[in-house]
Amino acid sequence: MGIKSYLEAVWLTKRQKTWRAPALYLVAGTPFNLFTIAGGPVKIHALTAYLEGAITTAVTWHFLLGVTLLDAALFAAIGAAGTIVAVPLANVALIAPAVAAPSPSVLASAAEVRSILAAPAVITLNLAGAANIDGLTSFCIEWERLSPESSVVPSP
Amino acid sequence: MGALDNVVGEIFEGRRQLSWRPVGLIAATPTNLFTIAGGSVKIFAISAWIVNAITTGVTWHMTAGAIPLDAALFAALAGANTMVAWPLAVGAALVPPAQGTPSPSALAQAAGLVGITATPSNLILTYGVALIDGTVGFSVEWEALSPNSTIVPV
Repeated sequence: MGIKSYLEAVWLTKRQKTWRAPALYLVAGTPFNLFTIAGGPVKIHALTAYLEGAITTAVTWHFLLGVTLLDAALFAAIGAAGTIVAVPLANVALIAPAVAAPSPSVLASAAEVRSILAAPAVITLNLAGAANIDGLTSFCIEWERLSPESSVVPSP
Repeated sequence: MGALDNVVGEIFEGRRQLSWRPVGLIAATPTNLFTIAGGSVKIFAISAWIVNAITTGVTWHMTAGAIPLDAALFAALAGANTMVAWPLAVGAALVPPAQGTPSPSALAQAAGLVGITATPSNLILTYGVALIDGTVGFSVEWEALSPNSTIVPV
């Protein structure tokens, strides 16, 4: 194989990161499309939320892959600025935002979930209750292609 | 091959690779899905993407040569756009197709299985009376254990 072929193969299997820029998420706009998986299946290793600004009122939120829950239940949390949340990617509870949160979450690890397979779909954030995510929050998804045409991009 | 080719080649050989079998109907049983050749490999995951629904309960399982990679024939209907993670172990059952299914499968993970080694052989899918009437794509995540090891779709 020549360098071009090697680099193409390395690129194909590289673990990717797709980042969604900081934004506020208001109850009035829920649900929010965060990331779009297209072109083929992927393996998702982690989905994390970084609270760049504090969430000042207890917010209830959860995440879905299409219609599949990526956490057990709506979750009420106040979050300090500079904290992070590891979405468990399984039907287990979200853990409160913290400066250093295990990823995969300890509850996901206890449930034997290290990563998940995802067919093309949209990952959404849902808010319930009256509280907004009033601190700027960014998201990162770590993933790998399972087919040459697979992609994950921030949703419009 | 030049020095740069050698360096890039060594980096390439040491890292995880992906082989993809494009989406299609599996029209016969047994069907050779992938061929391992040239030397031994370590396989970390085999996954199936069920693009169109499987509308009749199908019994299927996978083998590496004659070695089962799941516990038993498995009857399942499958919704469109769902995924299956093969457990890679004869002692672990297949989990029904689902969106967002864990990989490694939770049963394989519980059995302490994070990968298998395999010598040159075919990865073979077999199934029972019902046809797999939905289209399916397959992927294998693997590493070469010798310089000439390959896994290619059949």
